[in-house]
Amino acid sequence: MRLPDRRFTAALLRRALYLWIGVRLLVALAGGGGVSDRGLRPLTSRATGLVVLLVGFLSLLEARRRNEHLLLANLGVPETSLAGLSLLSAILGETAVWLATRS
Amino acid sequence: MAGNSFLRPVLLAECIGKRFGSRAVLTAATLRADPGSVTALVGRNGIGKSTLLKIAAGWMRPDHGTVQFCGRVYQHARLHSLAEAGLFYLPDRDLLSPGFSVREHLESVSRRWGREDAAEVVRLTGLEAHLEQRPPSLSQGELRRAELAVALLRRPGCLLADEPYRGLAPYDMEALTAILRRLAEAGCAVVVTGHEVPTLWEVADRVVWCTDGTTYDLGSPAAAAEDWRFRQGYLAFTPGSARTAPRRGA
Repeated sequence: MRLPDRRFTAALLRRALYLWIGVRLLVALAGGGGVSDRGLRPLTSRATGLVVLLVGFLSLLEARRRNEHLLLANLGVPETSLAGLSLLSAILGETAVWLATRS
Repeated sequence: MAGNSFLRPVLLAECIGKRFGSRAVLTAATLRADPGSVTALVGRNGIGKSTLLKIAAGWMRPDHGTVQFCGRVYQHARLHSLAEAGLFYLPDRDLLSPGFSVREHLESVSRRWGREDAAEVVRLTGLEAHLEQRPPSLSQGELRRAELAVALLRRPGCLLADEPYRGLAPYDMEALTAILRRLAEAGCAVVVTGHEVPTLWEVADRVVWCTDGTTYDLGSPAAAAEDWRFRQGYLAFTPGSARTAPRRGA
């Protein structure tokens, strides 16, 4: 599977990271996860999966809004690559949180 | 060479059918693109030109029909696969990302396809003064030239451009025509859609009329202008009308 050019890859990952932070903050405001006086509170595995999927979906929507899916398809990059990159930031973020809450 | 039906087409979308809900937009449409030739795909609004172009580009799935590109038959053509093989699809809406400058787009394409003639492409498209600008700050004409610069840098074997002349000033139209002709002279198979009849007649070697769910290859622009069904059904010319379609080379 072909990946986008490094400039587009970095932009996609950065955007997905911001979206993940935003979604996580919203989840914390809604009372799930977030930070308490006893440190980070983990989400259930089901909620974590939902957060990752939501971030991936929103990130893909944003790439479509910016016409990047069409431009990158013209460069031989399938949309599945964009979807994979959209999920990656959220997965890395959730892994970092999981490691932090485990200790 | 232009319009020579004995040439093996680079792109051949055959017997394409597409239905949206209960409305059959295309029933048996065919589109072929020959190397070194510009084909104008014309037809009334909503008749299925853009749909046919999207299907030929692998950007939309047909209900039936096949797409053949560079000798390979695709049952389910996808744009990224066709792009790898040398196709470039210019949609009727913006192609470039608003987050990157023109220079960054061109650099990405250069890196992707290993092109080193970006400066020549920039000169040809007259974008020297706009390289650091992002698409939202470009005029419609500059944006179209920037998109074409990306396509030129790719050096495609086939370019499908959906309404590239829409909303352009005469100066930009002329520049666009020169670029499309240059692409064709370099061996690229070009297909353009639109309603700008005088301009399309100027650039095209062949005219294909999309109507009633199918397509008719009308031959050269001069021959198309003589076809009475086409004149009545699309050009809306009546016998004895003072208006005449411009003829390339006439």
